[in-house]
Amino acid sequence: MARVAQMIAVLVIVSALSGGVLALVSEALAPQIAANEESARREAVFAVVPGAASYEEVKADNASKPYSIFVVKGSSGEPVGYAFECSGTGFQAEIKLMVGASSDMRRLTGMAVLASSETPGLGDKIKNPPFSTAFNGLDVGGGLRLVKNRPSPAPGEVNAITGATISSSAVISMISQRLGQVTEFLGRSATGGVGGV
Amino acid sequence: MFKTLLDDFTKGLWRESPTFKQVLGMCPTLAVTSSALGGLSMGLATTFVLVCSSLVVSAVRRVVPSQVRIAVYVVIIAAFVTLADYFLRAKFYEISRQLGPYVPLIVVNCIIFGRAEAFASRNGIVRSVVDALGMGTGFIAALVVLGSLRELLGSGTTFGVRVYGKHGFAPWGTMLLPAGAFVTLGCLVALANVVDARLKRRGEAGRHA
Amino acid sequence: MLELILVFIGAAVVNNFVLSYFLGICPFIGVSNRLESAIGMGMATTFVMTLTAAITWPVYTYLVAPYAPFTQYVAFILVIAALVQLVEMFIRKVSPALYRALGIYLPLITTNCAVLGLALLMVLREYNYPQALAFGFGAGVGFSAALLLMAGIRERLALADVPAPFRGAAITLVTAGLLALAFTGFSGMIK
Repeated sequence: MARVAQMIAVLVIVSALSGGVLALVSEALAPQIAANEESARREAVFAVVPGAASYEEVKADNASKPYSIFVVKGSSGEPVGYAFECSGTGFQAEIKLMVGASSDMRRLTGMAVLASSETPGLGDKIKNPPFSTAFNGLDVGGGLRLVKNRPSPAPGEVNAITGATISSSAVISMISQRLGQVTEFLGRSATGGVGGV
Repeated sequence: MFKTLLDDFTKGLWRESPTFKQVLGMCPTLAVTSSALGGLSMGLATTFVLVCSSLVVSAVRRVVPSQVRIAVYVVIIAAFVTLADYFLRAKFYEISRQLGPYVPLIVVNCIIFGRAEAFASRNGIVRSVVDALGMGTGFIAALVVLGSLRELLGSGTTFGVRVYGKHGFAPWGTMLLPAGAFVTLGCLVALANVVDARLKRRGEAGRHA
Repeated sequence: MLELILVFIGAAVVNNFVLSYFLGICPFIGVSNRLESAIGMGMATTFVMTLTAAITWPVYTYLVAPYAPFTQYVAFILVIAALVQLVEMFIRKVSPALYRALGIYLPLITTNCAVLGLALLMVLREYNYPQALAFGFGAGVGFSAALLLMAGIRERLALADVPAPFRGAAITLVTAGLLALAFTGFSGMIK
């Protein structure tokens, strides 16, 4: 009987002590962690919407999982555009992007890769120019499409990375899908659909 | 006394290297070593948990009944990992993001549990801490070696500093993929076996001389 | 329904827990030298993984997340340890031969990173309950598949003339690397 009592006592004490210490530490560090996450997000939003000075978060729920739209304002409080995250499956694993769009949602203002683990040297190139900068000022009024080897792509067209079609088309399709959802949420007319290669 | 302690420490560096000899803690070894910095960070975090948990396990070894020891060790280890995770997320956010879900996986790093069971639960606090430090250092060394190799061959950089690859000679991307991790570690283990055999032969020759 | 199948295939093949995420390597190297023990280990682990998903999801959603998020790791590992204990007792009753064959590796399922990794990823990806179950089952199947493939290869390797430095863990790791390379062919299968 004493054995069982000792076992239970030890378990309870160890658990309670651990729980207590963890609760204290998490209380103490929680603000800093939140600040870190906030500043990482801030950096991403500012990277994709030029002229950004502040932003507000709006929760949207017209997708399979709720997401956030960031209403970006300039230094005098005037609206300069929107930023939103999108994610999807790439070649190797999940890709997470932050995309910026103009206030009328007819142009993209930028794209930043938040997380990806694509094939180094191939799919990984979505992080570098020319692919990453192809979205700056891109006219998507007529839809967003992936094309191959067009020396002068038409509005809405983005050249795929040679040898990394799957990563490239994953990026295009997740941006397209999110654009449609954001536009719908903001109550404006939908942009064109996704074209294939 | 000091000699025992020295031996406790150094055995983790080579003779009982957790990575190359015991082949333990493989999951983080392969997962985060696509860069030298990743390997170093993971090694340090793991060593922190290893030392702290060995200390506590050793301190309570006489009052913990053997039937519940697994549950108790596991709670202690998980608590320290949570501490390490929170600390990284607060003070070293970028590294925390890079290591990702592999920080909580330190909880099930066989090295930590293995040392708790095999050593800390049977030895005094000082020896347990020294043993943990030795194993941890050996682990860090192995991770940094593997990480540097993979980073150098796979991205052409070392600790983020570009060594080659800007002009012409393209880095070997496969090194950064799982396949590269497995094969490189396999070759390193084989290399360790070769070195070990040489050292043994030399030792034997010395005795017969 | 299709979505669940995709989650299952994703976990089992495309992002195989062992060959893509490096989870479950210790038993992968330790138990894969004989086909029968590999089969037994695979089944036991799949069972534990599916049950882990089934139990940790409600524990996380209704207990940990709302009240004490800092207990996530402790809670998960305790659930896993308890489950493994139960499975161990079950196998001992049902098949003493299998129990002996698995030996020390059965309680080691507790420290199998694949099981804890499964719980962590399930939370990270914000799966709902059916998705979590499909994920757990798929991960277990994927782990077992990798284990079986490895065991088949190692049984052949045991008869081959492996150079001395490579015998044991080294050649197993290199073989795993080649397997991982082969599995890269599944990438991009799921949109």
